Amino acid sequence: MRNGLTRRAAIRAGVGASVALPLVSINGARGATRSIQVGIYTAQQGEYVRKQIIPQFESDNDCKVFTTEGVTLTQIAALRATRENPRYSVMFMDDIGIELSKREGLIDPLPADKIPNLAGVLPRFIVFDGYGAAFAISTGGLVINPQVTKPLTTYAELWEPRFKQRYLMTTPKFTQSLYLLIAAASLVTGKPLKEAQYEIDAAWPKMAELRPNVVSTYENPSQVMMVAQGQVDIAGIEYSKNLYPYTVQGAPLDMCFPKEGTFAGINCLSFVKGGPEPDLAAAFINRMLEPSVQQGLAAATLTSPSVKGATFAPDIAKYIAYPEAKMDAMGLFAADWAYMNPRRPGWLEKYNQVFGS
Amino acid sequence: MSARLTGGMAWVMYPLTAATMLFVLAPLAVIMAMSVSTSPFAAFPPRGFTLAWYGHVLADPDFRSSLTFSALLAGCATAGALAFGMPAAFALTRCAMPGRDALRLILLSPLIFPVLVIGVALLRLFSDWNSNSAPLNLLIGHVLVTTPYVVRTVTASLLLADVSLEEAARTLGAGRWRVFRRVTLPQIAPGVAAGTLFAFMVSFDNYPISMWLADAQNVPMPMLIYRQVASIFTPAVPATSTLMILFAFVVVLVMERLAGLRRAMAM
Repeated sequence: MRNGLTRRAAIRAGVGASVALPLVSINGARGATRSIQVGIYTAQQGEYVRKQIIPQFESDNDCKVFTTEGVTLTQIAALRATRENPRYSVMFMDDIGIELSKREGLIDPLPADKIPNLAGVLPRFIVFDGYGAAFAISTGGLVINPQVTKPLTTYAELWEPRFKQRYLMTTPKFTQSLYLLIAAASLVTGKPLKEAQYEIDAAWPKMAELRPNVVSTYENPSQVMMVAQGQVDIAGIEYSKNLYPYTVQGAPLDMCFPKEGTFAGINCLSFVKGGPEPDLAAAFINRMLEPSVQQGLAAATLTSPSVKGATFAPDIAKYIAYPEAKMDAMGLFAADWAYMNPRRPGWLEKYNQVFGS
Repeated sequence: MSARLTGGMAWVMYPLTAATMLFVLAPLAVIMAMSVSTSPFAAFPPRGFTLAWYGHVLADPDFRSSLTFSALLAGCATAGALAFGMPAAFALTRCAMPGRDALRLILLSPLIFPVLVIGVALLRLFSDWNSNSAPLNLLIGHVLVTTPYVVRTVTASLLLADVSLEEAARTLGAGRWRVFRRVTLPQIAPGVAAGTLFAFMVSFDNYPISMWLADAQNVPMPMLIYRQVASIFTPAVPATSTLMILFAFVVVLVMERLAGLRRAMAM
């Protein structure tokens, strides 16, 4: 008897809730006259955009900004899945994704006339003929425990026997693995990164020599904590935005940028082809590029802004490649994705052959 | 006959059972251990002992909102799975219709197809339908992947149920609904309970569907944990995971109290 009543109550509650659930979201959208869907990043960048930038934008424009969180590959997959009936208006993705999306006709050029703040963006960060504009830049390098390992001055040191079974390598599935290939090509050919990126084939024998040092590969940036815990001596190539939050919290972790150059992880904004509310989308991109927004985002996420004229306190400035003179001093390098993307599947297979067996 | 194993069989079975339990529970134990570490980063073995991370998690509005949303979503998805799955199970076991085997395969296909692919297919479908309500889309997606669990368990129960009792009740004048309520349902209750439990937990724990259909305002628990790991891996993440494990444990206990889950699992 008691059980029967409880079951009934549970069923009633379930049915009631199932009716109520869809209404929750409808109520959320009520009140605003316009809305856009924006694909933002995960992690701290996503949180800052969600909590600090969007509420003010919604209030200023009497609109609703719906967001989903993802990384470049899932963002592109979402654009492909919704190509026939676009639901996104703005999509965040790395520069590597801008090239792909442009080639596949998923995005349109940024409407410069509706984005006045585009004029303040450093020209090097308006990418692929204006199809993408950077809003944050991370630096790619190697992760060390400064109490144990001295910063590497050249990538050649990574091949030294002292790192035998002590190097945690980025999974070949991630973009950072291509940076390691470029660095290896640079070592083999003696050419700077900018030229070495076109001679990847020369890098494979060198990559095979690295195998004894590789203890494992990693997919989650949080695994760089293995360096702090002494389980490995060095890791990467990793982006600074994934590493410095640990450093700031007191973990014995730091990055080093060998003399061959510093890889740039360029986080971009793109304008979805045929997306709803294009004017509102342009206004959102404009807001993301506003100097005050750029300043706040950079300080909160320890990434470099893409606009001119930002200033930072020394405790922030030491973590970011900014201003432009510092970028040049670090040899900030952006890969030619138009060349690399079509060849990447073959390189991934080769990576697996070299490190998989 | 004694239920206790003795002799050579005991020497094999007890260590084997212990090893299996260790294999299943060790990862959970590691997570729980990491959640009480005093270090600012998740590490194993943990350093010191503190419950402060639990306080931190419970005070986090993102956690509370995700837990509420996930529980509500899983509850609704389970209700939907029961609403679709039970009649389907009846049709598959009691109705002699053409193409029954093919229908069974179709109904169980979400168990076979990669859930990630189902997620992206649903994203495309909802885009074509202009369906922009993330909770509604999630609910439909979760009902889709949880219904087969109900179909399977209820079908198994119906095959074991004694049809002659239902026929006797009908002969004595009971209507169809009354026969179902008073005769059939008590017989298949363990299967319904098992299906309910599986459906709830599969929905509560689902990531592959949610990652395509959720938005940043409606974040199920697995996505919240992924988001936290991607930000900075503090002991708050294992603390969140431990709370999820405890929540699942409570659900199992409640189901046991309500419907005798042990009977269902022994089915």
